[in-house]
Amino acid sequence: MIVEIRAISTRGRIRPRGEVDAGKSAPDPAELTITEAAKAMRSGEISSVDLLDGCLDRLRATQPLLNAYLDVYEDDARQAAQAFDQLMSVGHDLGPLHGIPLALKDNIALKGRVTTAGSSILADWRPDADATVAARLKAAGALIVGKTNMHEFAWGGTSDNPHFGAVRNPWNPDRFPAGSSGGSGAAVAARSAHGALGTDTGGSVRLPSAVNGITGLRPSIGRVSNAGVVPLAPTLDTVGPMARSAHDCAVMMNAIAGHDPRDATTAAAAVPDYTARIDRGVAGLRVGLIKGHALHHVQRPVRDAMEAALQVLEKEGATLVEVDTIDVAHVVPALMTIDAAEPSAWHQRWLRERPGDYGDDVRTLLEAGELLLATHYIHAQRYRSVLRDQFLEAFTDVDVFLSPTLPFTATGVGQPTVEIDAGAPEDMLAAILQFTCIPSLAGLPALSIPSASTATGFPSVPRSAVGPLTRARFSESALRSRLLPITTRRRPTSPRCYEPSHPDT
Amino acid sequence: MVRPQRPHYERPSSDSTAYGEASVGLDDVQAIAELAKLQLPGGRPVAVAQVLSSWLPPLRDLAAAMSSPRHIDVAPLTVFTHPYMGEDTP
Repeated sequence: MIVEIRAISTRGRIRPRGEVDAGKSAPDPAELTITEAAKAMRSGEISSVDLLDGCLDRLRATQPLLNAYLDVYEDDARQAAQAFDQLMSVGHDLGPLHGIPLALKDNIALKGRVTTAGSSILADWRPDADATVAARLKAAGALIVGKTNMHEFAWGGTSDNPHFGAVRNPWNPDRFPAGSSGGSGAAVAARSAHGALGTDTGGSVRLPSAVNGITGLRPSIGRVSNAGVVPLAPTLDTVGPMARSAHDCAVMMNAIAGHDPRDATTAAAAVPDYTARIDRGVAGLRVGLIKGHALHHVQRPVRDAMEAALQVLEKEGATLVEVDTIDVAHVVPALMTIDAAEPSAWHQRWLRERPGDYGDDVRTLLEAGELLLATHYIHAQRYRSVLRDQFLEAFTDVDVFLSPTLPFTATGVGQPTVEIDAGAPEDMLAAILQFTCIPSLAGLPALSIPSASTATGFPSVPRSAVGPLTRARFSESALRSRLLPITTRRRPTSPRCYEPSHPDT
Repeated sequence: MVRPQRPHYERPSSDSTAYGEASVGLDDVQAIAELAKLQLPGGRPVAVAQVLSSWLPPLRDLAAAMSSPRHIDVAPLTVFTHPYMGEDTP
C-alpha cells in the first residue's frame, strides 16, 4: 500500500502531499506505535489527519470481518485532527497523545454519544458527561475514533455479543479475541486505532491483549478513575490502556492516571511519569513464580512460551525465585463470587423489569449471582485480604511475579468450553480467569505482554498470541522501570487480516 | 479486647460433605429465587442450577478455609474511599 503523506512541520510550513525528505521512505501511518507517531509528527513527516486516515482505512477494511467497533466518529475525529494539526503548526504541542487516534470500550461514557456497554438495555443511553478517562485523553490531544464492541456489560471473556455480533480475532477471524474488551484488543491489533482503553475486572484488559498480540495494563486499584464507566464489580473494576507496546501503555497511563474528585475510590497520590527510565534492563530483577501454579494446568504452547520468557529473563540477568507462601487454591471461586454478586446487585432492578433484554449467558450469571449466600461473598472478600497480605510479604524477596496471562491459546469464536489438559472440556469463564484473577483480587497492577504465537511466531503464521503476565506491588513503577524493555525491544508486528491477499479475508 | 472464643474445627477436604453436596436442585433454586423475588420462568431454573452446581463446591471449600481459626480475625477487603482534599493530581 502506498500512502501519500501530507506532513506538517512544527514550524508551520505545510508540505504538499507526497513530499518527504530525500532518502526517507514514507511511514505507513497505521503501523506506527503511539511513540513513533508522536515522533514522526514532530519531525514533520506525518500529520494527525494522516494518522486518522490510516486508521480509518484499516477500520473500513477490517470492520466487516472483525466487528470490533460499535460506533465510529469519523467526522468529529477529522475535525479534531485538523484542529490538532493547526495547533501543532503554530507550536502548540499537547504532548505525546497530541493528534493520536484512540478507541474507547463502549462502557466508557462519551457526552452525547450512545454508550451501550454492549447491551440492548443501554441502547439509547447518551451520557451527559464524558467519563473522566475519556475527558483526560481528549485533554491530552487524543482523537476518539470510535467505541469498541465488547462482552455484554463486560460480564464474560469472549466478546461474543448477542446484540451486536461476535468480535473476531485479527490474527485469525475464526478465533475469539477474548474479552470483555475484545473490540479494543482487535482494533489495536488490526491497526484501526493506535491504542484503546479497556476495562478490567477479572482480566478483561489483559485477556484480549494476550490473544490479540498487543500489550495491556491493569493498573492498581484506585489509580485510574472509574467515573463515567458502566460498572461490573466495583471492588474489582479498573480502566486500563491497551496498545502496541508497553511504552505506549505508559504514555496513555500518564494521561489517565490520578485522583479524580468524581471517583472517591481513586487514590489521592501523585502520579509518576510512567515512561521514565523505561529503558532500564532486568539485570538484578527478582522474578517470582508461584510454586505449582505458574506453569501448572496450561496448554503446551503456553508452557513453551513461558519457559522461553524465563530463559530470556535469566539470560539478561534476572533471578528467578520460586515462591511457596502464596495460597492461590481459592482464587477462581473467590473471583467468581465477587464477580457474580456485585453485578447482580447493580443489575437487580433491570433483571426484574427487563430480563428478556439480556443475552442468555449474562442473564444466567446475573440470576445465579443473586442466589449466592452473603457469607460466600464475605468469605471471598476476606480471602482477598489474606491473598494481598501474602503478596505484600512476598514482595520483600521478589520484585515482580510472572505467569501466563491465560492457560490456553485463542479458541474458536462462540466456543463455551476449552480443553486445557487432554481430557474433559472446562467451562470457559472459570478457565480463562486462572491467572488474571490473582492480581484482580489482590488489587495489584498487572501487565500482559506479547511473547509468542502458537505457530512459527509473528508475523508469518500468526494464530494466537500468548502473553506472560507481570505483576508488581502497589504502583506500576516496577512495571515501567524494569520489565517493560523486554517488550519494547521487539517492534510490534501486525496481523494481515486487512490485506486483500490474506487467506482469512 | 477479649474476643469471643469459637469452636475449633479442621478444614474439610475438598471432597468432604461437611459443607454439603455439590449439586443444586431445581427446587432449591426456585425456593431461593422466590425469597429474592426473582422470577425464573421456563428453563431458567435449569440454567441457574447448572451454574450454581459448578460454583458452590469450590465456594464451600473457600468458606471452610476462611472459617478456620487461622483466618478468623481477617476482615473483608472492601472499598476504601479517598476524600477529595482540594488538590487534584494530574
